[in-house]
Amino acid sequence: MSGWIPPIVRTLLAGYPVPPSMIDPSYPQLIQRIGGLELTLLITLAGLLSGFALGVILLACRRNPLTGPGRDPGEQLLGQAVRGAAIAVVEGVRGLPIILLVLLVFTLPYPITGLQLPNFVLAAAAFGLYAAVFVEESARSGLRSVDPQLPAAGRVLGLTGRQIFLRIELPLVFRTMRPDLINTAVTLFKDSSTLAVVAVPELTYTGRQMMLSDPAIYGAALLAVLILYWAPATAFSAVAVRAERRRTRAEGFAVRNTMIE
Amino acid sequence: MHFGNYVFAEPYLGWLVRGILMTLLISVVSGTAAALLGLWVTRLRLTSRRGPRLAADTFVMIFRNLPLVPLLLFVTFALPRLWLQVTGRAFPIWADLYLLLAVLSADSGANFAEILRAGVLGVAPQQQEVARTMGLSAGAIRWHVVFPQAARIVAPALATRWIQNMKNSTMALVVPLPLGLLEMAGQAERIAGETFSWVQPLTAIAVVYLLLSLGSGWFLNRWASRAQARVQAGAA
Repeated sequence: MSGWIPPIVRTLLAGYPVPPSMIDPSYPQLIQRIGGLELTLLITLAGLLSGFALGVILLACRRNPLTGPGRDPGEQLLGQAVRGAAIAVVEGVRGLPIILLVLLVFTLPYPITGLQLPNFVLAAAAFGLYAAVFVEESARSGLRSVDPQLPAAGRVLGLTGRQIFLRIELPLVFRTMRPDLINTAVTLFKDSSTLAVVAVPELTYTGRQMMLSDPAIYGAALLAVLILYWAPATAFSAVAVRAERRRTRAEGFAVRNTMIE
Repeated sequence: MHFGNYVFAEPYLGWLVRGILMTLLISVVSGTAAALLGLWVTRLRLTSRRGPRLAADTFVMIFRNLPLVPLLLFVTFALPRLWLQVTGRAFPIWADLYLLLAVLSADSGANFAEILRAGVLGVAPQQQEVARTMGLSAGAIRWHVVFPQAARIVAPALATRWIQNMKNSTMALVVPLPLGLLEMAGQAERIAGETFSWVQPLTAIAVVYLLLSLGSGWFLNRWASRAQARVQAGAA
């Protein structure tokens, strides 16, 4: 059926078959059997979704209402602590190289808590954290672009602070975030290659295994890996550029001088 | 020395210090090379001659969207093998350091070029017309009028990218460097290999990285906000 695809590429797309003895019955088999580009895409998606949720939570913690005026000192202190924790997470994750973040998430939980988590969960956690920082930053700059009259109108109508945040500000912010989200997806897709260092059988690891098993196909296997990363990333970057242009036009924003990584 | 703090005992402490120095060396050398490369590529992309412009555009398009880990694997495993097959001679082991520097520079260079181009497009075209009227040569316009302002306009993005380049030096983990030339992450892996635990070396280098990125971030942000202030002052 798919005989026209060269065997090297076929393995890169779906990974090496996993021997039955390696499969953990307590954990979804589908994810354990997936490898290669499929696993890379799945991890990108998982990282993006968890990062989106975590990013919104981080943003909410950062501008929590407890620090607002009219709160008693105890609440103010708690609010400041929550905000400080959110800022620490954002700055900490942003200050670490992605390989280091991956190594930390893969090697520290077990010796500290004794909890052995499946690789896929750890990968999703590492990239969820990584994406959350991008999402938080993008949403925060989006919030600054929300017309202050809209939340004010909400307040006049008697909405609570939470309702204003969830019903007025966030939906407006999500609309402006679209290009940043596409860029974040591209970044996750590319940077998930660092998972090869901790032996997650995604695209890069599969290519490396291929390279080690058969020196004759060194060049071809790695070149195929590079193309499999480059082509989708380039296509999606182009989509992001178009979305960015549309945003600039639609919202009449000044040209943003911060580039998206 | 307690048994619990082996990372701060010899020889591990020495390895870590060596790793920190290598990280600094790799990031400064590749960052500087990338900045020069980015300037040169930007200059080529903005010329009217088709050949150089196409070459520069292709360079940026290729290197902006290549992930570093597979790229480094390709450059440090497949290329030396190809070289061996073609010329019959092996790459010396230290060549991997230069290959690493070249890859990091190319990656950051392409990104610097993309950022700088946005900056150049942000400089009002009238400035070039005025400069030409005043009799400046094309080169003088580029280096004294356009590029300095362009760099100031995109200063925050350039600063972010410089720090990103420093963090990317950890990608050296997949490059087969000689033990003496390993950077921080490589030395941490070496210590983990000797002591069967990642916890201490990893925590140690994570702290160093946080200090490095927050510290250089503070300096670069100060530079960037001053540069931005000059842009605002110029526009007013």
